[in-house]
Amino acid sequence: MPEWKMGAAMKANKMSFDISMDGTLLSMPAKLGIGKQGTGGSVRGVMQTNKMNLEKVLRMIDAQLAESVGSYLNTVTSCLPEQMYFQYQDNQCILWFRSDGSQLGILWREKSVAVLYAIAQDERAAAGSVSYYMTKAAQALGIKQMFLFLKKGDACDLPQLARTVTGKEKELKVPSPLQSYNLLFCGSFCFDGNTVIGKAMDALFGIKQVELDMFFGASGKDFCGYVLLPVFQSGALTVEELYFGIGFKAQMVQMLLSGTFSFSFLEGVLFRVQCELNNQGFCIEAFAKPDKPKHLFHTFSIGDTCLAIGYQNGFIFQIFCNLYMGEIKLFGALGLTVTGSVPVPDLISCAVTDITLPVFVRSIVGKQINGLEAFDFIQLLGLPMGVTDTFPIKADTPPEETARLFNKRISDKSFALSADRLRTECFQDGVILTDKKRMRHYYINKGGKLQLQAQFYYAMKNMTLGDYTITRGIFTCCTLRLFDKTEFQALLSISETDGLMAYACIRNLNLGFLKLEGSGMNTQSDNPLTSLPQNSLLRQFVNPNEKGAVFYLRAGSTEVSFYIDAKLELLGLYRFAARILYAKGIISVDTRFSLAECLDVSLHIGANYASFSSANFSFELVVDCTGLEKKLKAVQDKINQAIDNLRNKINSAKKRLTDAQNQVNELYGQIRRLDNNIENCRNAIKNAKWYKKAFVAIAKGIEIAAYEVAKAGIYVAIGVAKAALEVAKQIVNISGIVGEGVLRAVNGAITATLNLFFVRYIRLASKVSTSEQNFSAEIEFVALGKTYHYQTTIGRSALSGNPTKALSDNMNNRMNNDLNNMEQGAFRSNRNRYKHEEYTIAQNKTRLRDGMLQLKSGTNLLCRMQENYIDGCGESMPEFEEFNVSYGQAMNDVTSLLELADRSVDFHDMNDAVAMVEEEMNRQEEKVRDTTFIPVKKAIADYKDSLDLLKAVQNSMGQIEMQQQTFNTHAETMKKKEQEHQKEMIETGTIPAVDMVQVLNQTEELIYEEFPISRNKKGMINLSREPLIHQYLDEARSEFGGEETENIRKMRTRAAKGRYESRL
Amino acid sequence: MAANSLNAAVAVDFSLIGTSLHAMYKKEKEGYRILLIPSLQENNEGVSIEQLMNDVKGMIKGVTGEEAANMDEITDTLKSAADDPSKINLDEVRIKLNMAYLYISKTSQEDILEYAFNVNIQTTGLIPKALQNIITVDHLGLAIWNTERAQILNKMSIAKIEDYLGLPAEKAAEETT
Repeated sequence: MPEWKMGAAMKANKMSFDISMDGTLLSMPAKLGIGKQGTGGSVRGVMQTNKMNLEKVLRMIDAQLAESVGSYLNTVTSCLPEQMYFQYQDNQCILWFRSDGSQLGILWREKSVAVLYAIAQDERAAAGSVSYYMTKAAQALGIKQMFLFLKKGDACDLPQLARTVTGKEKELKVPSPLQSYNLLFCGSFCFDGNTVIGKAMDALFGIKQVELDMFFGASGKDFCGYVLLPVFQSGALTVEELYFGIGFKAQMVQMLLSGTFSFSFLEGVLFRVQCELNNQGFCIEAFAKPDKPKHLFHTFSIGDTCLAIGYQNGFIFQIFCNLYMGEIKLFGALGLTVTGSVPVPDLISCAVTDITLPVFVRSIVGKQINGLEAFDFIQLLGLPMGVTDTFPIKADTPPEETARLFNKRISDKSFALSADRLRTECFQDGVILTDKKRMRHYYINKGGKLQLQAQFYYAMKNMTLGDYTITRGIFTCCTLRLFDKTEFQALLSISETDGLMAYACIRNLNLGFLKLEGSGMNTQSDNPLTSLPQNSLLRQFVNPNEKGAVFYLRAGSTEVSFYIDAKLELLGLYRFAARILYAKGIISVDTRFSLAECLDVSLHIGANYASFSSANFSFELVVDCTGLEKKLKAVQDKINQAIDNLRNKINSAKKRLTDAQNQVNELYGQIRRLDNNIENCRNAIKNAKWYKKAFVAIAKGIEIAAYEVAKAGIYVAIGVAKAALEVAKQIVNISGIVGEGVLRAVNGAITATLNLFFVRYIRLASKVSTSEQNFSAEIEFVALGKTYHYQTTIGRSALSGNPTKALSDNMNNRMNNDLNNMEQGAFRSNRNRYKHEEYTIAQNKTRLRDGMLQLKSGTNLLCRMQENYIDGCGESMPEFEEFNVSYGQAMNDVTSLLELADRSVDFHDMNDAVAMVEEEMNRQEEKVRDTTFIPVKKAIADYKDSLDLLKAVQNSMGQIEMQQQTFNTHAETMKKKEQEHQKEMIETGTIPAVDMVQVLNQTEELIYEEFPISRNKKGMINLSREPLIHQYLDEARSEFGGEETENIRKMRTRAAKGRYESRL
Repeated sequence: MAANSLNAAVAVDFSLIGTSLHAMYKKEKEGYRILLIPSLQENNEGVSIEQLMNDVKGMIKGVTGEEAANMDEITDTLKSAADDPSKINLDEVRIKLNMAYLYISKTSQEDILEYAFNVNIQTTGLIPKALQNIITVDHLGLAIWNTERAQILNKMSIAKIEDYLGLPAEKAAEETT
């Protein structure tokens, strides 16, 4: 109990004291005492009012308030009593009096003032006074007590003042719609048989006695009146705190009802009902917020629930409910507006915690069913937020702390939580967070991981429902996981402030016949998902490192961008990959189409959207047709026709064989081409300037080495094909013995040889702008071992006409001669047209192995020579780029010629034929003379040997691919080295001295390292022993005034020994 | 004191709270009695609170031989009402005796000390700031008494504020919280 010491009795010696003041309070005489209240002081006293009226007193306290409500006060209050009591405590003043007739209190602190004037019946009131009339009215109407309450500011409230003024504990509970009113009339009414209204109510409704609290509020032009109705209770329903009111607000009449309803069958669930009816419509809202879910039946419980029904330009129905079903929590909200007879949904929202089939069944049935876990193949889950650290949040964490921790971890303000609009509840070892400001639902699992629950939200207008704020917009997100592997993630958000954002990602979708994945074309640099801005909503969810088909769309007031990255594969035959990026006005389209692994079409379009309409864009279409015979139809038809015509001329099996043999021999024609290339290399050396001659000789020597390997590859291909054809020939010779089936297999095998035709690629490219328009086409194919390469450019007129026809006609014309030759069998009997050598299978194997060694040495030497040069001179030689391109082409030649070995015969058919022949020979060996089968057996043995050679070829192609990769990396390394040297020069400001002699010496040392002097293979170059290279190096050294090292001299001496035929 | 006996009283002068007082003195058989009838006092300069306390304490001890109860409660109360108690120097507060009553009866049967002092306090700073605009102080009084004689208290205008409010002090305090 607080201590009030205003004077005290001294018990020991009965001494008393009192500190008093005589003076004025509000300019009126007052006697006041100073006392002590707790640790603070207090002033209390009595003021002589001189029967001044209330308005004047109020004017001294707050002139503004007195001005605005003075007229009310003068009407309802009479003169003040002679004395009023005063108390000051805790920075708050109160002035009051209390008598049987009336009670008055004025409370003020800081800039707030409240006045309570209680008018009770006063039988002794003078006739004609306000009290007199109020008393008479009260008796007639049954008013037990009447108050006038007015206030300014919010620091003073009615209950606080009422306790002092009335001296009663009972609080005057002001209905919430009236709490904002500055002027209130409130009172207790008792309608019984003694009052006029009581009698009327008895007669009309049979109500004997009703006690009511009534409230009337006025603010500006608004007025509102409320009646607190008594508690109503029936068997099923209890109604408490039921207010019924009428209001005039914004020149509109409103009927208002609010109360608390509870049902006996829903124990503990209180529905707060608010009803509003005006001349434009009505709305009734019942809202229940139980402390914890209330059990309904079986596994079902109910949580926060709200139902609203109204009419405003149509019938309105709104509801939301939280339903608990075992391990699942469901939230559902629905809003409908019925216009005419058509219900239009303006709110649909639902959210659900993670669901799997077993959880769903278990939650419904309420018990565990054995074996059900096996059906856990479909899961509906929330969308995990990409928050790396866990949330230390529990259900009892204060909302302020929860909101702070949450907001700290998110990057986008559109997710930010505010403590006063946040609800937390424990559920299934985790915590559910509900953002009532956005009707959004989160779940934090027991590991502290945060996710957005699977949810859908669609609202077509702004509204409030229960304690939720609903804003126009659409939001949905979820994760659907199938077979614990395939994931579908989706998020869509549309709002008036943030615009549209959509994201979908599908991972690991492989149904056997259908496969969906990332296009594989995306690069980190221009994928917008890898560089989302800090305030992007999507940053919370996207992990760009996870592979999958992705769709992204962002359309806001300041930014429009979209991104698609996906590849679809159907039945393993049809593949379509697409990557479309639109951002900052630039559009980039990459698509790749693949059919049955034989046709690959890729299209790239790059354009600035702003200048798109002025035709300023470029695109590139590449049709990769490796392995496909049907390309540009007209060209291909003619080729087919030519081949058919040729075939028609070959009637017998032997003739077919001869022709096949001839076509294999045609491959010798490639040797001439390679010899030409080698000759070109030699010329390049001769034409090189003196100071570069040594380097050119080395590079071209390396290139020659590659062409020599390519030549070896031709002999290998021919060797393999000939071995197969020899078997075929022998089989045909014994065709009478082995039967038609074998011959058919042989025929299939050699058809591949006859068809030595394939298209490598077709490229269509276009560059279009207002100043320049052209269309270029390029095709490369191999027919009968010969590579055809055509390139043509079509101008504006053809482009505007029929570009496909123009392309096809152009190519046909240029190929005509060769095609005619094919028809006439011009490739026949050309065995002797080119000089060539013969190698056995074993020799071919050795040559292939040696060739691979040469390629490796050549690649290494070319790379090291260039790096050594850059290290020594600080810069690259302009010719290096040409060296690299030429050497790359030479390696491609090696690859394509080795591929011929694999393509020259259908080995599958041939193997079948050989197996059948062997079986047949075994069966018939006793009947037939041994000598008949001897050549067949030898041919088969050679063929099997050639299969080993084929394997060696396939292995070699793998090695070449590695060399090519090394070579590609080398180009990057050179570029970096050169940049480093340039950077160093800029930093030091000096050009380092170049010791060219040292560079030349080191280069020569490298030759000896990569091409050992001891290597001496027939038909293959050894750069260490090439006199011309020695000569050019010596000349260069001499010019630069240096000489070779001791080691070089020794190596030279060694190189001069033995026989070596120069290849340069 | 028997009837019809000779009554003799003499006037005595003494000083209390900086004021010269004139009282009646009567010698009894086994003792004496002194009476100061309440009367308005004028023409004094006042004393400090400490001097007041010392005077009252000295008077009590002199008559009853007992130490007076702790009088710090009075200074506490005065200080607590101020906005900033630390700035109040009670030595600067001058107290002027307004009216006094004193009755001492010291005989073999009884020791009686009755007193009532009504003083004026001249000070500034004791009124809270919040009230300075609405309150003016004409007279700040401090009354100390131990007599229960209503006639004396009435004459000296000694009444506690609770008496004005018509409420007991404890009840009033409860209602304000």
